[in-house]
Amino acid sequence: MKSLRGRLIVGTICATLAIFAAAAIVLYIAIRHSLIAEFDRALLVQAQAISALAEMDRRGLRLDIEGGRLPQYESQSDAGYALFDGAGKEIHRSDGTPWLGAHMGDGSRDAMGFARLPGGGRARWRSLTFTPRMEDAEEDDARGPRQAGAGGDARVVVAQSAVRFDERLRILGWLLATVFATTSVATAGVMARVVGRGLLPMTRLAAQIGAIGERDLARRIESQDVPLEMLPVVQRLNDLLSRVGILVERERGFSADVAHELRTPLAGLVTTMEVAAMHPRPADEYRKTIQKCLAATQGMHAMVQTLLTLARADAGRLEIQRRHVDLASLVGERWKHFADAADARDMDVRLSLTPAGVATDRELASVVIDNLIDNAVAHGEQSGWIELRVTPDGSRVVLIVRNSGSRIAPSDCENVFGRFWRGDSARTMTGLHSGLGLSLCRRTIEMLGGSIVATSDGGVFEVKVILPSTDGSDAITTP
Amino acid sequence: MRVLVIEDYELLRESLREGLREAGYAADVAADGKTGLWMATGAEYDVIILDVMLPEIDGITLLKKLREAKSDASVLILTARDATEDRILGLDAGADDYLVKPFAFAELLARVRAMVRRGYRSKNPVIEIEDLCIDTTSRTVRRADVPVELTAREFALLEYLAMRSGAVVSRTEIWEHLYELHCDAGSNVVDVYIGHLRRKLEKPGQSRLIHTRRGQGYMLGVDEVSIR
Repeated sequence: MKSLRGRLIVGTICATLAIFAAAAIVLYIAIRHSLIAEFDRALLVQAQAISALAEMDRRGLRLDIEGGRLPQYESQSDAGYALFDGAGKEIHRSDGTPWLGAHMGDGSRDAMGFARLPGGGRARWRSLTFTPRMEDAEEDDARGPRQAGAGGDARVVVAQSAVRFDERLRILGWLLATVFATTSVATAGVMARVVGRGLLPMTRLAAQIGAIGERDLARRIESQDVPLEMLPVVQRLNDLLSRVGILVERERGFSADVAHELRTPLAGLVTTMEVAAMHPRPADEYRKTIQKCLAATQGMHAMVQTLLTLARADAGRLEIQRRHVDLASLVGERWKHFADAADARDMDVRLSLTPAGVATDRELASVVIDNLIDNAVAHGEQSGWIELRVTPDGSRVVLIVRNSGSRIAPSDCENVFGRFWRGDSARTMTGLHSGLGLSLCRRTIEMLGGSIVATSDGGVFEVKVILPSTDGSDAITTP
Repeated sequence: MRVLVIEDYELLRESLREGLREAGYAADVAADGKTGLWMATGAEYDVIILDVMLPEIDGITLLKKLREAKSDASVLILTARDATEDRILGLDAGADDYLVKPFAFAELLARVRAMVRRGYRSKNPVIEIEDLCIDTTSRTVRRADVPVELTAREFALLEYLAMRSGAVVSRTEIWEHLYELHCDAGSNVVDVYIGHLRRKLEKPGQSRLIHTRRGQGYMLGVDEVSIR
């Protein structure tokens, strides 16, 4: 699990350290550069001083010093100088400086660099190419113009031990490293605290969310103490809570309805059997009781089956096997199961079934058709009429189921698809029509890619189902 | 005792009717709220068993209308919802008791008996009048410690008279509390059953228990008039 706190701390610390390290390195380089420049300036001054002592006469280049030695270099083994003529030949050299080579600064006017000292450590050298002073200009003039350039130029190389310089650089390095390390540790500590404090509202929010149980979904997360950045999160969470609350409430209502719808037939069953068992009865009476109980159990079973189908549909686990189906012949076939019931209620039946192919699941479509016809037969008026109509309509097929004697208000038509909704303000026919049928129809038709609407007008209740026709659909396998 | 069952679920309604009849009650039934209310206000019922969810008029509304019409029948509510609010709603609307579906029929009978007793201001299920002892739970009768065999109808008549012992009860009242709505028998059958009861309860040598008040009706218990 990635911790936001950890990521924030590590991130900020890494960034700070990188900035500190870069700053330290830049500072080090800058100081070193300026120290070297200073060193080099001092060496240049020395080189210029020596070059002022060099003169050229007939015999060649020589250093005009008393005793042939420069006293300031006498006692030092790690500082010295060397003088070379234009051809690179050594003219003069201070004592104990064999490490000053003729190659140093060769070919350039002003060069510098480091050289390794025989006793360890290193030295900084600087070379200066110059034109030496002529001792006798008149003589020179008589012999013709003096040739400037390689032959006439001289080069002095001055060097001084860089041990102390290196020591200063080392101290500087350590100093910067120490400052860097201390600031890093301090920064890490401060960051940890700052981030921790910054994330405190999050911890508090988590505690608030954690305190909301399934019983108090009506509670909302308080937003007054929440930082501005977290306000959208809190608002979305509160929105989510409202939606979850509504869902849970609906679910509870639904469960209560299920309980009610199952309890009443259950009470009927229990009472019927208890009464039958109160004292011995003739076999015929027992047979009648068993038949009544059986019918009630079948009703309960059908309801449980419908509920399970609905639950599967809700969970998206209803299997759909699309086939080419002639809706007209399917409706005609299903109608046969209800013809007797309609006859018993003295209903006038009008069938208008035009063959129309649909790409649908035969079983699921049958469930819908059965429910629609059953509703029409059960809720239509005694001695009224029922109409079943299948009409192809371009790319769709329309199924209409109508019945006379509707007592449903036009404004209630959308409610008929609600679960456990019944036309009666209270309820009719407990145990027979649970008020789940049309809800199942809508869910199923939606899954089959169609639509279903109900209307009630002038005492006529109509359910209109629209399914896509087979024409123009390629995903169908005709068995 | 006369009971009205208002329940829309046929299986339950008919079973209750049959069970109550077999338990010695005169039981009428209604399948919807409208018929139920009409029947409840039109006759004297000792107990009304009322389902909450009914077509036409729901149980709670029916109960309120019944109480508005000054009916003091004891009402037992049958509800499929066992949430506390639902029970409070029913009791506050004027119900005397409630049962949550599904229930045991024996419990329903016990509650009906208790409601009948309360209706007649009697708390003891065993009624004793002189040397007559009526056990309303086991439905047995003894006089001077000798068991008396009674038919269901005879017992119902005796129980009703015993509940109202000391008071004169008219034939119409007896008939109304003992016979169902669609009964063809006239109120003169009451006289016939009184005769049966007397034969079984008042053996030779025993004192009179059921007294006739000419033009008024019958009375069970000590007859102050004849003592005087």
